[in-house]
Amino acid sequence: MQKKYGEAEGLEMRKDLENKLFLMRKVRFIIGMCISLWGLLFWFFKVAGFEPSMLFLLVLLEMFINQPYRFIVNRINNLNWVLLLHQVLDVILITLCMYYFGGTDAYFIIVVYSLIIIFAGVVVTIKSSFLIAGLCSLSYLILFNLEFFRVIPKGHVFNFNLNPPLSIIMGVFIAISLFLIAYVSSFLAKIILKKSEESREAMNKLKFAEDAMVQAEKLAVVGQFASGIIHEIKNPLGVILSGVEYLENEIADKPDLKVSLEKIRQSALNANSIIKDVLNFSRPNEQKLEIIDLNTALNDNLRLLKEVSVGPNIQVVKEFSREPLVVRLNTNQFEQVFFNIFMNACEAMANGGKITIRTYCSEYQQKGLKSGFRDSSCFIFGEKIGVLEIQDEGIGISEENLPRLFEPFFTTKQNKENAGLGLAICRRIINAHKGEIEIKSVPKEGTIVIIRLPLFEESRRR
Amino acid sequence: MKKKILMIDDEEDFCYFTKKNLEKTREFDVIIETSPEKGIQVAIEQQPDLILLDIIMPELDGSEVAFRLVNDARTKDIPIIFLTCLADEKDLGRYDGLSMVGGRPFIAKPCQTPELVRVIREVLERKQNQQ
Repeated sequence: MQKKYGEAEGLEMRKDLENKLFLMRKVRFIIGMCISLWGLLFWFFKVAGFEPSMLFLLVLLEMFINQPYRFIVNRINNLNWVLLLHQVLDVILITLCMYYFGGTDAYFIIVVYSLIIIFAGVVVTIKSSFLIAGLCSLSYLILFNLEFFRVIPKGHVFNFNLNPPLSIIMGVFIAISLFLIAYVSSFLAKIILKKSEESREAMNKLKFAEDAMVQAEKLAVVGQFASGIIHEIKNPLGVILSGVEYLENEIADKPDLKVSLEKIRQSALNANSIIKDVLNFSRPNEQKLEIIDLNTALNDNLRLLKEVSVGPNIQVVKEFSREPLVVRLNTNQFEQVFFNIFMNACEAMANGGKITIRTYCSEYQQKGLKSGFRDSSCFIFGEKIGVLEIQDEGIGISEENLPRLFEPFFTTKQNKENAGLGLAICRRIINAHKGEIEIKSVPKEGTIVIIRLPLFEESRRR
Repeated sequence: MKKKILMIDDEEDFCYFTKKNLEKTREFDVIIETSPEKGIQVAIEQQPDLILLDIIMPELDGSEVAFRLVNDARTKDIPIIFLTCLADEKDLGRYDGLSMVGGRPFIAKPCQTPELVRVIREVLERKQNQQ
């Protein structure tokens, strides 16, 4: 199950890899064109030993690598391998070019090696730039040895006639240069990544701020609305419920009327439940926090759950952390959050299934916008946090509904007593605890609700 | 002997059915007063065993009524149970088996008669024990 969520997240990674491959394809095309131009210049100036047929073979090879791109991308699951294959082919192609233009003596081809190393470092990953540097050095070494032991004839276009010791020194020098280039490019990549991360973060924050503003406006409207009319609604509801009770006693001998009265009572109770939700949502949170182990709080809540029926064939699995996760909680509010999420999980599994309640200590990793609402300013990057995951095997949530789950009055449930405020209240409560709540889901597979809370020791230091 | 309960609430219909439901138990006699000012007078004159007091009322706030009753020597010993639609059971802190706010029992509206009867019995029992 965990893997499936990984796969869902992996879609984003795949898109990223596809973009990288597309960019590599473009770069390869440009390099191919440069080599062609170079060859044409040689041909035009009639450089001795130059054979255009060999050059065109290389350009064709380059084209051959480029063409099946779409065919490969749509059929291969792990694009990392395609990326690696592309890079290895690049090294081979450049080595062939190097051999063609003068063998190991044509060390100016090293510039082309440098280009793909820098490209790998900046666009792909830092690791891959070192890998390519290694591959380039290895290719150069193989070419050098093949030439040295006369397995292949020496360069075609230029012939600098370097003596073996000088060639070796040159080889080592080139290998060191290549690794230096990989190091510098990785350094550059880090700076670029940091900058792009910062700008993405800024964009996310802006989006969050906009979302928060919209939510705050909704909240203000709900608050005004709620405080104004709840009193007016609750009183008539009180009258209806008291009236039903009175009539039930009076018509004890008329079962058909009793059924009708029961329906009236249920409708009134449903209305009352919606009002409770609106009231909870609209009032300001008064925090009465106590220092408690998250696992203890969960065990207390699970004990309470045993008293209510959670549905047929529902198995609850606890995977609690060994170490205590000390957090500051308003236990009543936390109970509300937990019950809400737990009941959602039960409702999502009409035919039964497993609900896993998992807790662990983790370090906060900024991931950007995934789903729902994440207040990114809650935690510091790398800060130790307590994580609670409630995972079900239910029907899941569709992709278009996922970002709207925390909106007030948004609901996918059909039952009338649902005001669509449950998760909005949960988020409000968790945000008031300086935590965050996130929901990931795979339709027909299940949903996982992740709550991150600051650990007490950490929060005290702030 | 039936206990006398004074209900001060501006919601006439709610009072009507609550009175019917409470009297059905044959344990209580319920006097209804929809005006808070008159309610205080009735409390002084009738000396009920318990007062059910709404909080939000147009003429006089329930807390103000309670303040006057508690500070009047003639009514200071009459226990008061607040009825409120501003909160529900979860908001009211549980203390010694009862929902309490500021040391006074509260019942969230709309309330079910068995719960109301339970709280009334509990409060009356405590008063008796204190005496």
